[in-house]
Amino acid sequence: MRLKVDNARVELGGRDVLKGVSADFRPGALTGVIGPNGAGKTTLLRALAGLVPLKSGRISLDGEPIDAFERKETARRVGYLAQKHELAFPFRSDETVMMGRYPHQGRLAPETDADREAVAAALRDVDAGDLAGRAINELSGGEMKRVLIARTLAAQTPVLLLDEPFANLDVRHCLDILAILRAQAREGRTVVVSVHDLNLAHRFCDELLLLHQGEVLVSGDPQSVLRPRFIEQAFEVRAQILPVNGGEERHFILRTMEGEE
Amino acid sequence: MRKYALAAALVTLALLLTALSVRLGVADIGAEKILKIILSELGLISTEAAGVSAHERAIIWHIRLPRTLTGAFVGASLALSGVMLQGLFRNPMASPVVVGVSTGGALGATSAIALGLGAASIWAVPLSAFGGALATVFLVSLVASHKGHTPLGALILCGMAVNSVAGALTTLVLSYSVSDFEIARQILFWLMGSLTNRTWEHVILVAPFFAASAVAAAFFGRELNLMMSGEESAMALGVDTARTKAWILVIAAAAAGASVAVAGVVGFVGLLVPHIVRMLAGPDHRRLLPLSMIAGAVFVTGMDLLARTLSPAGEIRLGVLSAGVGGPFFLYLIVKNRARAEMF
Repeated sequence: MRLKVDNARVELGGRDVLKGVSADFRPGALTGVIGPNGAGKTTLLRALAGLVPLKSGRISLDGEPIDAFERKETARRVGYLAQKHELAFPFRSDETVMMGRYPHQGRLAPETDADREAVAAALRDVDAGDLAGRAINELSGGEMKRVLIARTLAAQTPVLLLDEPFANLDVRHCLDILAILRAQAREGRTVVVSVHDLNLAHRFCDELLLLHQGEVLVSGDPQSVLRPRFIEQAFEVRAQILPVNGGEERHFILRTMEGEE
Repeated sequence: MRKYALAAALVTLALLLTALSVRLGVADIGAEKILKIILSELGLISTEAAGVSAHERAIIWHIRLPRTLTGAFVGASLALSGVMLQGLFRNPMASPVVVGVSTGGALGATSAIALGLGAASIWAVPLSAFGGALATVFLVSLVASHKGHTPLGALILCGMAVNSVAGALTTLVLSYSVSDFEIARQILFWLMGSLTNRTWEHVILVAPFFAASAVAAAFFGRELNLMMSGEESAMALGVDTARTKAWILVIAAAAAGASVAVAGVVGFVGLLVPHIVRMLAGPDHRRLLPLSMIAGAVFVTGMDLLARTLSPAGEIRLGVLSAGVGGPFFLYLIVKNRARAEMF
């Protein structure tokens, strides 16, 4: 599904967090949203999921405005994983992932085989099959994150929005999750993920959207977005780009503006 | 299998306690006579064939049976209300008493009594209790919750404030009514929490409120589960959170209000019962709700049986006993679970 945002403005607590953001997220691509803290990455993802009202502008799914859908209809189309979570009650991991199936379930209908298969597949995808029977609040930070990613995958939505899914993840699981998200995109899904690590963003994303102070500074393929001058303007750091693996990949070395060298 | 075992054990216990509650008392009336009285009152056998004295009939049919049933409904309603409130505030410390819903209900009930509305219609007192409960739970959710989060501290402090205001207003109503002994006595009754002298009228008052809230609650099992991971997460997963919260509020208030209207403020049931059931059966509300309702009925029926048999003259009030037993047990639970601090 094509997720499009036109000139979206969002005001939170009297502050303009998004100041007219436009972007086009195409199916089949893994798009990374990058930018410094407070640039509006989280707000953009929340707005795309229909969780914060727009002051003006429009967000559409295949041309249909997202606010025309009922909550459950939106949830069948758009999966969203927030950065923070509240886990006050000791649900098991598989029960937690099953919650991702909610938009597909009838009010009092029992879980179907399709639900159970989706849950098992999602847990397998994030390498958390062995965590299924454990209480979610007894897992480590990284294990919990993987279970929550599985919950988002279990909904099998054509659009996936993940806000910093890599926090708390070790290197291996971080790469694994990126590989899964890429595979999801290759299957035709629209995948949008906010990333902090520019090296990861460059290596794994098909498209990048660089946010700066609530506006899109630049967007496009990683090569054209991750130029030293954009990085310097948005992040206020000095960037040096080194070709590695015979120029196939790039490595970013970032220093403070005041730094020596 | 374990959940079925627990359900079976609770149902068995509920039936056993109900039977004991009807059987035990100052007057020793045998099981066979009790059965005959019930059958004849239901019109299944003729009154003459039963062959029991009018006195015995009155004790079983007009005293013990309605009291037992009222107790069971009160316990089930309070536990239901507790589960809903803990779900609403995403906080295992919430309960009708902690949040102030019970006190608000008591204020509604006492106001109705003092204004003489009770004489106008039998529904005036429970409806006022429901109104008071709804107003308090709405107020607490408005004040204690900010951006979909309800910190434990804010919830408890807010509950304390609401409790003291509602308590003060109840005392005010009471002090204006002292000149009328009968009204003052009735109000005091409510405040202490008791099942003494409950009649069929009380059963009829509490039953529909309980049934309606139990049926409504059954529709929200999944939503309650999803709300546990935070309002925004629930919304992202497809829950209409605003509507769900409104329903939970009304259900919790209806259940607590009805129980307050017929039995006064009975503490700890709504806090303790969902806790214990959650420990045994897990946090899934589709199991937690029905099991807590049965467990609540068991708890109150058991406590009332204890209150009656320990002191047949009725000096021990149900509210006193349930807090007296529930309080220490709750302390024990806190100590036992201190390591898993997130539970509390």
